[in-house]
Amino acid sequence: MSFGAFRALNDVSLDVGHGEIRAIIGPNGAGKTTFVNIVSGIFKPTSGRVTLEGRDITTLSPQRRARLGLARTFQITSLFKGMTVSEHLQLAVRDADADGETRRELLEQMGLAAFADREVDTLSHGDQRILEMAMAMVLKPKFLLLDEPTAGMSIAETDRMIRLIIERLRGRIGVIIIEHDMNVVTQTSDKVTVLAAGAVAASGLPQDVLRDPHVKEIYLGSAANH
Amino acid sequence: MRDRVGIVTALGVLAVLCAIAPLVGEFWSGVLARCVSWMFLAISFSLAYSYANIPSVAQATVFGAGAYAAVWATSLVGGNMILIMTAGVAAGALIALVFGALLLKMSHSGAAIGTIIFAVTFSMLGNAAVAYTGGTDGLPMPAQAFHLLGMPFAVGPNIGMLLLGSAVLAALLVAFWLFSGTRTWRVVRAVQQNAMRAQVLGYNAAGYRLAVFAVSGCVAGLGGALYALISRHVAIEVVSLSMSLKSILWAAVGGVTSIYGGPIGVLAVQLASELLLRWTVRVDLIIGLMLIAVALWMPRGVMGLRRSRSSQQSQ
Repeated sequence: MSFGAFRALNDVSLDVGHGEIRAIIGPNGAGKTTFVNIVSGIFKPTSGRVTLEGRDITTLSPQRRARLGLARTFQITSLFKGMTVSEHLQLAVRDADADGETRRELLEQMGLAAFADREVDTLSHGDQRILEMAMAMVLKPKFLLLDEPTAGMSIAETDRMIRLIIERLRGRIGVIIIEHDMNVVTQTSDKVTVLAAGAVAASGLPQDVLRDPHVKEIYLGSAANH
Repeated sequence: MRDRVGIVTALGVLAVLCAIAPLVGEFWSGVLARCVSWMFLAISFSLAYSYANIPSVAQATVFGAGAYAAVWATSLVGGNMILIMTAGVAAGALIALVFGALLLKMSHSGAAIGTIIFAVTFSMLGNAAVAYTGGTDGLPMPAQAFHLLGMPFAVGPNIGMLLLGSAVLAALLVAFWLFSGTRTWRVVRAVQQNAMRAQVLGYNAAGYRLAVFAVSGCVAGLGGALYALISRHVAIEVVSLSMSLKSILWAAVGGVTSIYGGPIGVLAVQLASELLLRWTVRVDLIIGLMLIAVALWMPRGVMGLRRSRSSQQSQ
């Protein structure tokens, strides 16, 4: 993926299986969000392919990908001002059989039932992030892209998000999670891929990758070795 | 969310206009009837700007297309007013669809410049095509036996046209109010706030924006057709850039983020102009100062005052 002369991603290939949670980590500017934007269809890759369950979706628009079961959340909370929590879920539900009861159940499971009729502007940052997650989940996706789901959250809110990811997603659908918090990465992910300067620097089990001195140097800088 | 105060205010304004019409005489009824036709134009700008996210400086071009279509349709179909207004709506929708399809390929600021180019180009084309538009002299509405739903109707700047225009506008506002409580309208608002977010929820953001812009075109075209019936004459100045700028001013004064603000904005600016003309020739200067005051102290227009007050009370 190139922006003019700048190559943001170079020969990055990931194969995430059904039920697998894959974390992508790396320093700022490594190309993590660019990767998610390519997979979700916001950016068109200069070369390469994106497939979902074997189907080539490279040329499809973001909305077509969403309808095929590819959901995502954003690094910066992206909710709609003036709409209630419940209205957000109604907006996310395109499926006629995902009725009000399904939405209520989901709100209860996500701990948002008490806020159903509140406008989203009045929610805490943590609840807004959880609502983003709920909007993605009510789509019943086959694959989910989580872009820094715990960004800006308190420790308690982060723990709540970790529990949701483990209980609601692990083993059920394929997930790519971009995360800076290593605690979240080790607790939720089956595999970790490290991106650095737009290329894959390492990939493997979380405990192996995070112990790798090369990864420490890339991710934490040369200070990690001192 | 349906805006009860907005719809009641807008309908109240129209009801007052209709109620005072017999008291103020034919001249003022004609002035008010033209104001009602311009309310459609102001509303169409609010729809385009606030809900299709297209800062259109070419709404008067669409309004003018509706007006000319009404004159041309009268020559073809006679005095059937339903068909004449339908022709205006269709012309507005067609022009808006063509403009919209091109504007959606541009950035937000690029679209604003694009609409200025459209407005100027269509104004020049209209001036050049004198045989079809009458140029600066304009085209008179062909003399016909006008009828509405089988009943004879006197077109022109009169009470009847004021009542008809108000009734059509009231029906449009009520229809919009009902529609604003639907899921589809929620999607429109979502697309308007964050198109990319709406896209990853599976919505065709560009399609929704184009549809809303086409609806704004229908509204402007309908207003144009009513204007042609009220004025019984259409000149090329109707599609001018200055007319489009007026529509922005009306919408801004009423409150550009609310379609219910348009009627208030038109009345405030146009009635102030008419009244000031009796005392001074420097009307534009005074109106200009008024607008600067609105921009500085009432950036959300008259309809925005409600929100400001309620937020002040809650503090």
